[in-house]
Amino acid sequence: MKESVIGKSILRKEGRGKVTGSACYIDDLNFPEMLYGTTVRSPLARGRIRAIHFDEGIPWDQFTIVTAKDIPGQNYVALIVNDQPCLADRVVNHAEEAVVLLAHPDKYLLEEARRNVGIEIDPLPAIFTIEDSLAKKEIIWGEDNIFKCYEVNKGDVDSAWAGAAFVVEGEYETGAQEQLYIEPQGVIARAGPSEGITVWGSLQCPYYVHKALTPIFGLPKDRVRVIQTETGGGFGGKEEYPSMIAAHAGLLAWKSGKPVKMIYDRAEDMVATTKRHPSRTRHRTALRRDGKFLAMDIDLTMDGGAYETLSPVVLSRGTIHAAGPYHCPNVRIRSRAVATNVPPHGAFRGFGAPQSVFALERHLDRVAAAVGLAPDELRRRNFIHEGQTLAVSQVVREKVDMDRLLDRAFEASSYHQKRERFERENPHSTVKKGIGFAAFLHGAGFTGSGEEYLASEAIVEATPEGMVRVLAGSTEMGQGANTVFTQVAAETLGIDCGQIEILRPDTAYVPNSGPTVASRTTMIVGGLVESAARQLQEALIHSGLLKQGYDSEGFADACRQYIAEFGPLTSLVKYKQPADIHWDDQRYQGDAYGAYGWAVYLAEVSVDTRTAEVRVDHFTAVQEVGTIVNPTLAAGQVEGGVAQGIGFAVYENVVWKDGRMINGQMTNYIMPTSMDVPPIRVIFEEVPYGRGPRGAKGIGELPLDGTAPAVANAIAHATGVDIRRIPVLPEALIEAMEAGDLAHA
Amino acid sequence: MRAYVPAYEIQAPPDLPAALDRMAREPHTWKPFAGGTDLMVLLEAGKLPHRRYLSI
Amino acid sequence: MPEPVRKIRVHCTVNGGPVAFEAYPMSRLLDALREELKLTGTKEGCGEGECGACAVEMNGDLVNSCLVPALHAEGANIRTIEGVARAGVLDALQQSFLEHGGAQCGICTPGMILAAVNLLERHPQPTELQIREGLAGNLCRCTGYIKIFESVLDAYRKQGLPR
Repeated sequence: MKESVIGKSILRKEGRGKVTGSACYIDDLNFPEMLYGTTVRSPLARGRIRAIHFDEGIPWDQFTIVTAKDIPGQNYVALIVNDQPCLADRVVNHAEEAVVLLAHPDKYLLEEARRNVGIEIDPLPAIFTIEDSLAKKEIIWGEDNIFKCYEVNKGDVDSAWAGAAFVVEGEYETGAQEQLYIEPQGVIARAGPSEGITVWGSLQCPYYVHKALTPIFGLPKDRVRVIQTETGGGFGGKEEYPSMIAAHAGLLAWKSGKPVKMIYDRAEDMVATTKRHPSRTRHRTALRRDGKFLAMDIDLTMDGGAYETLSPVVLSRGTIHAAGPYHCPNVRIRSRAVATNVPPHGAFRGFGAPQSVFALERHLDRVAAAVGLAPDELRRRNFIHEGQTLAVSQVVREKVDMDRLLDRAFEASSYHQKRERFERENPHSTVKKGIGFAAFLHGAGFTGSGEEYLASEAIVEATPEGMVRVLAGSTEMGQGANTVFTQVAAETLGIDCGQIEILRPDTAYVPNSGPTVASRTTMIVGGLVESAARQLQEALIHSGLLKQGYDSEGFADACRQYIAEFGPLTSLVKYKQPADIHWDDQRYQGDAYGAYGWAVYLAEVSVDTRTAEVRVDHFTAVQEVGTIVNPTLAAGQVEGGVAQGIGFAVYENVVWKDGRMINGQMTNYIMPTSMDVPPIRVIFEEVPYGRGPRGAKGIGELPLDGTAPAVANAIAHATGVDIRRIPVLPEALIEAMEAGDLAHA
Repeated sequence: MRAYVPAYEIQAPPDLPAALDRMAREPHTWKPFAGGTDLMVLLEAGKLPHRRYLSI
Repeated sequence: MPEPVRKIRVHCTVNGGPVAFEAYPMSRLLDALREELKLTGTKEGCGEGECGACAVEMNGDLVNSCLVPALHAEGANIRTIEGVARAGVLDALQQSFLEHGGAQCGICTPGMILAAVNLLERHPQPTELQIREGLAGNLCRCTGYIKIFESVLDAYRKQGLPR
């Protein structure tokens, strides 16, 4: 009986190449006769393109020049609604919108040329804020600037106010956040009318790029090929954006007849590509005298930028997560995503939930104070239990125990002792300490009928050499997908991890396993890998070639013999939605997610009242995400996510001017360094999930939901300042501290 | 990388007399610098004026 | 359009061996390493000397190769990530990064390992604070640094310190 590999920290499958520098990222790849490509972008946020001029002094005849009229097929980047042009044609709707593409073999000359293309624009009035968009100061999209809205209703909210002992209101805001993967966006394309198009790139979703390129080039699906190269971080920033850069490189390749490499420099990447949706949430909460929720009325608005892109889906997740892991008999959530003239906002780990969870958990600390309860006592009186319904009327069928998670977080951090000590010592110190927490959940997988719609597939096959190969469209980007698939396959088959190969995602070979997003890769695609491996094993057993009590070598022999005798041994599995998951898209009710991760995160901070500098001194992350497949990888996801969440809370600020990010440098857009992350205590409560491979659920995004509110609550505890907005910048904090306890920051 | 790198000249004279000599014989041409880290940051941001630089 | 200046020929030692390459004098050492010498292990993350993905050892110091003009590499002794493993045998640091999850997406890893190598050369038994300070010029977006610290601690505690 082979020892289990689940729950073992098997070494990262592709790790050796990463620690030796031999792993091949897109900029490490070169082709003969390759050209470099660059993008000339709109200087203004909104207007009509009057003229494009090419300044003298540049040998333009040496360049490949592409504008919208060179697009062989349709000028849009396919996503949900096809409103985003691949290249701006007559109008621009955001600063940095792509207008002209250039290619040349000399990358220095290319850059000189880029600065010598002038795009003349007759300006149109632009809007940049949620308020102006809602007020319809200008209509810049559709009839009313609204990309999408949702309404969730449970019970009867309006009947609850009269009988409430307490009613607490509040408004909360989150700013844009840049994904800041250390490897910038990059692709290489080869394209032509007869050869079709092949794109190599740093990307999360090869099949999204495939879907986008097909109409732009007017090619049949089998002449579009997308290959993922080793990807240096994604976090959602390489979910949908790569379709755009792939199309651009492809257009240059198509026109020039040569391979074209396009790598963004950091400034371009920060300023022109997607960021987290800024948000504004309004809460109105009614409670009984005993602190139990009577009603929650929640209003959530997100800034989607100039085109719809993924805003409906980000808004959806934000909406569904807005009322948290609590039971409340009456809930109304009204939400909308609106258009502004900034580069479209997009996917970023958490995908709408970090925004609404910040608002809720910050609000509930204020509610607790208003009601006269400790923050934890308010939560305990309202935590949801198995059998109760969430805001979207989903019956919780998991053994959720939020009390236990809270207990573990408090015990590990000595919460009560610290809270009491900080409160006692703060009046005598210029450095105030605070401790705060957030309780939250994160749905794994696509919402509602999303997984059914995706109909993801995975393949496990044997090779003539006796190895087992996993073919999935899921991409490794550091989160550990390759290693988890290896462990799941090896465990199911009862063979060594060394016998498993993971094929590099290439749409010519791997099936569409859906995008590598939404904390779905281990749970959903890992589940498909598990089923496919089991099917393969059954085929071998059925053939009589696999003997009882076989070992790895025996398995390899059986594979070789099978292929020699019968031909290919391949097992394909397609996702089937369990029959008892029902979601009503019209009423926005039902089983929103197959499974949830549940968590309590806790932060200890110090605030220097002389400088308003905030330091996170300690962090405790307690979560239940099913069985942990690989402890090192899982803890790595939590630690990395907490660091990004700390950035979201106190460091990462996008400064806007006339609809453009003006701090697009790593010098002045601050992300946490090794000096800024606290010790992070990671605790997993393992409750196996019956439908996850070996009991696993999703984990990747969860840490982004609870970190910022825990930090914000700790800052509020330390300083008495009523935090309403993140990032909590020193400038705002110092003003609030000087103005007194009741001020807003 | 937002500069036309081929337009920038740097030379590194072997000693101080050589540096002073060069600057005397070609006045208003050479800008002396030590280290160069800040120069390169400006260069990559596209903000370094076209000059001939003398590394000392 | 300004006239291109003449390229210079730079002679230096890289990973223990003599090399020569042609480059514009103000071009970056980073580009020379990647494009002329085909050593693509050193990465570009920001082009402004902030992220440390391009870090190499030059004359014993940790430098951001995106900020070193090619001219300044003349006569220098340079070590890149390709020079850390010896004859295919991983350095203790590399092995620790593998065992302790110090690398996730891997793009910061070459620079981070060089920074850790340099740190251990200066502080063979570093405190946690010295580790944090030694790596402060290398940004990592994936790990939150925790497992990088653990990797470095593990590497020096085991016997095989990097040479």
